[in-house]
Amino acid sequence: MDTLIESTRKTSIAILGTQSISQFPNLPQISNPTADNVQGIDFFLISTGNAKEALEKEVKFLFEQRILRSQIIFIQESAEPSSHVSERSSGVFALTKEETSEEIRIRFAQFLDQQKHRLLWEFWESAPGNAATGELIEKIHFAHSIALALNLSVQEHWQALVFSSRNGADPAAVWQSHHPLPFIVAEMAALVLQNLQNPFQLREELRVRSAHIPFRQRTEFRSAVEKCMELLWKGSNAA
Amino acid sequence: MLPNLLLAILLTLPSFGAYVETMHCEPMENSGHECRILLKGKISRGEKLFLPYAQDIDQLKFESWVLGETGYLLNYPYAASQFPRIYSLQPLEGKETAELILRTRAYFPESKKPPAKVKVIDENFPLRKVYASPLLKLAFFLILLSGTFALLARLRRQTIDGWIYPLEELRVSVGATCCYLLLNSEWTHAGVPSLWSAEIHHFALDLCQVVSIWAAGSLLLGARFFDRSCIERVSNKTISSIHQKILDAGFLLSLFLLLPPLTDANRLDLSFLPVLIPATITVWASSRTMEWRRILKRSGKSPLFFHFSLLAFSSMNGISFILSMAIDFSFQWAFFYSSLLLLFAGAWRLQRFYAAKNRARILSTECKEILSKRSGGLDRLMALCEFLEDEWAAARVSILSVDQSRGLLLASAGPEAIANSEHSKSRKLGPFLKRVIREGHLLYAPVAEELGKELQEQGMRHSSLAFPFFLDGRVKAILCLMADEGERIPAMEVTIIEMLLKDLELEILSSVSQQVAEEKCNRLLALAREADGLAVEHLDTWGYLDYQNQDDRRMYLGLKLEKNPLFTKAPRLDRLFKEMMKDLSGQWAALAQAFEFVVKESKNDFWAVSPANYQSGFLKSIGPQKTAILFASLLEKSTRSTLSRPCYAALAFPEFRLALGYVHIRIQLKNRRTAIEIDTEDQTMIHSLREQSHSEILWIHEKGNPDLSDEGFAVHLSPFSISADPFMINRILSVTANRKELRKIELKANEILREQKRAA
Repeated sequence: MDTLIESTRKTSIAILGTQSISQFPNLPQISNPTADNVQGIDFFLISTGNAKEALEKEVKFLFEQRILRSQIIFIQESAEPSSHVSERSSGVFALTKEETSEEIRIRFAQFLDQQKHRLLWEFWESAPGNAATGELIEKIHFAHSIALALNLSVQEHWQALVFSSRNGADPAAVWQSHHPLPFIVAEMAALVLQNLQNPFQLREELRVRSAHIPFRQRTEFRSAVEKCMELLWKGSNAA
Repeated sequence: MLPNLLLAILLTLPSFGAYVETMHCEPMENSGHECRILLKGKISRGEKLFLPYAQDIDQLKFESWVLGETGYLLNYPYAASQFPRIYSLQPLEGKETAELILRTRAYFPESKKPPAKVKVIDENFPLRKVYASPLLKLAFFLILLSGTFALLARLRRQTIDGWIYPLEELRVSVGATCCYLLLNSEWTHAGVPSLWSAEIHHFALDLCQVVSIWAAGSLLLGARFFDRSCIERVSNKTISSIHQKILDAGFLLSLFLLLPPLTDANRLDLSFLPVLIPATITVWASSRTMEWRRILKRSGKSPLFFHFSLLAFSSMNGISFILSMAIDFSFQWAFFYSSLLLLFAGAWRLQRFYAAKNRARILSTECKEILSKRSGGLDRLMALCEFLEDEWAAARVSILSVDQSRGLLLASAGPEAIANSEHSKSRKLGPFLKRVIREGHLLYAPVAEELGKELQEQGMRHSSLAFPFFLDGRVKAILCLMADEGERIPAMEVTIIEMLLKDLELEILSSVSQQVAEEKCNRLLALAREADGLAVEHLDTWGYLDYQNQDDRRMYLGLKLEKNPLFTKAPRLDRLFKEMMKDLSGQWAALAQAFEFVVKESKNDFWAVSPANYQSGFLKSIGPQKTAILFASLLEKSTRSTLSRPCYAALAFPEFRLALGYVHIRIQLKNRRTAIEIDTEDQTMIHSLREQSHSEILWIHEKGNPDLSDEGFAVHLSPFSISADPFMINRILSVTANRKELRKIELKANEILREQKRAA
């Protein structure tokens, strides 16, 4: 639970809209959203208590700023459900007056943890997987799990998914430090797929390909890969 | 006792000194003597003549007066040497000197001292010196007589002290020896000569001797030291049957030689020779085959002493007979004392055995009383183990139920008792217990070294014993007792334990059967509960379906995970998903068991029904609705926690669907049999509600605020939708309950999960 609460502190969240949400007193509030003040924020909280037109205006503005649908979280305060925010890729977080701030924070941390996977859901909604091969599906999912393990930002995470959906670069090419992180994550996912049955070979490949990457980051890459592949290598006993 | 015995012997000694010497004692016909007694000095009033060495018949005369005679009863003569002899000298009062004539006769002259001395006593002479010796002899005779009956009665069964003798020969030996000693007593001479002649008495005496010698030899040849060792010993030494045949032949020859008219004063002694020689040889033959080192280590003192006295009896008689032929040595004297020794040793052995038997009987009564106060099978077995552990300060006492070569530990007590968790499954029996089953009797090792290398390598380092219990000719249970490390189990204690366990055999077997049946019933019920928990709830005491309640409402809860359809194309992700489902299914089942819910369906689609009655006091107090909400909350928490694990991140948090609500339970006809099932409409309602859940808990209930208020219990709801009257649906956001009780339930679920993994 503490890990989840910590993750809310690390994750950049802002409240958007005219109506403040008192249960989240420490979060920054954006009353007049502009192109500048919405960049770099991972998730936006919008109250469903707003009027429908105002709500739609805020959401439209965010989409224009290329904010992903999965980054928007609707806070439901009223006792009545809001049917217009029931789509899965638009997260809804319900609040009650009886709950304490601590209880809400705990639930919200759990909710946020789930939100991270919504990037992948939104990805599949935008690029349906019917045409994708099994190998591609697995590569994208592995890239997603590595991105989570490396705690990438929302934008980087999305880019990693996009990179992994494309054909990989030269399989023998060594990664450089100027290569974007999402690209490297996609390449790592491809490596994992190639060497799934042979963890020693995978470690060797990682070592060779990340030779020009700073030591600390190389260690993080290896740790992220091993964390994600634990069960596939060892079986259910490892769990 | 010894000082008293010595005092008694001293008191019987006639006082020495101041004897009046007799004149000549001339032998007469028929083993008689005529003695002339000269009394010097004036004979005072009250003086009497005391004969310390009385013969069978005697007559005291002065001139032609008969001063007194003994040995006649109504004119019938009898041997009266056991009665004290005092003749009054009153007719001779005042005389200065007198010469008395004493005529005596002994029917058994070889056992009597000649009438050499007499004593004049006055009124102040202590009578104890007169009567003590005869009374002592009478006491000895009576003790011998009663001892004979007691011994013969108690020798009907084998004593359990490690030594086995042929029972018939043992009784014959003891009987013949006792008969010899009784016939040797002066009190049995009383029938001579009126009832039977001295020759017949002698014949009977010799017969007893011959039979006794033969029986002792047969005992030695048939004796076996059976120490119930746990080490298999194959002895190469056996006694040849020729020894018994020679002994039997010698016995028959001796009997033949005893028959009149062959019995002759010269030939009489030789009649013992044919039986004595082979009897002496049996001492060597039997000793040769015994493993004396082992016997000296493992045998109890009293049976060992008995065997040694048996060896002494057979060897001493042979040696003393040869000596009696060479020098002036009394064979009868040696035979008499060796017989006494043999009898004493036998009595001591029996006394020790019966003392042990008595102790076993007392312990058995105590134990039965303790067992009668317990009702459950396990309770009774534990009580028995604790009783034995307490009584013998054992390191461990265990009882196993046995089925051919497999055993299940039922109960264990003691400082080194085997923990409950270690005896939940049956196992193959080890070499020690297999040997017990094969041998069919108690096996024990008094010291750890006796276990042998094989068993010590297996880890057995304590002095141990194991006792099998039989039912229908097969071993059904075994009791094992293990002493503290370094301690020794003495042979007599093993005897007591063996007798105690034999006495408790019925109680132990019934407790074992009861425990096995109870355990089997519980396991079958658990299996049945997994198959159809609702039916199991409605079983009566006798296992029949008994559905009474027409308005039975239960909380019904369903949980499932939605598998991403893309995984069907991705085998590795599909495998990962299956691993996760396996993980989750175990957790859900463990939680259901902890909350006492009956699982209706599993295999990736989890449904559970609340029970009719809760065992847990906490769950009973909060009621079925709150229990179900708490259960759902923990299910959600556990599922989220598992789905959030990094190893499952590639699955991208599959959506879970969780819903709960009240359903009715009805009796229905299903596949031609009566079953207790959930009402179909209610079931459909909860199923369709669950499809609307998106990783949240949906709860359908009757309109109006449900009464969830309780101290320490709080539920945070959020409206989901209002369905058709009279129902409404809420999301359950969070639940707060008694932390301590909740923690207990979580711990219980973890324990169940661990056991399931261990069993798998």
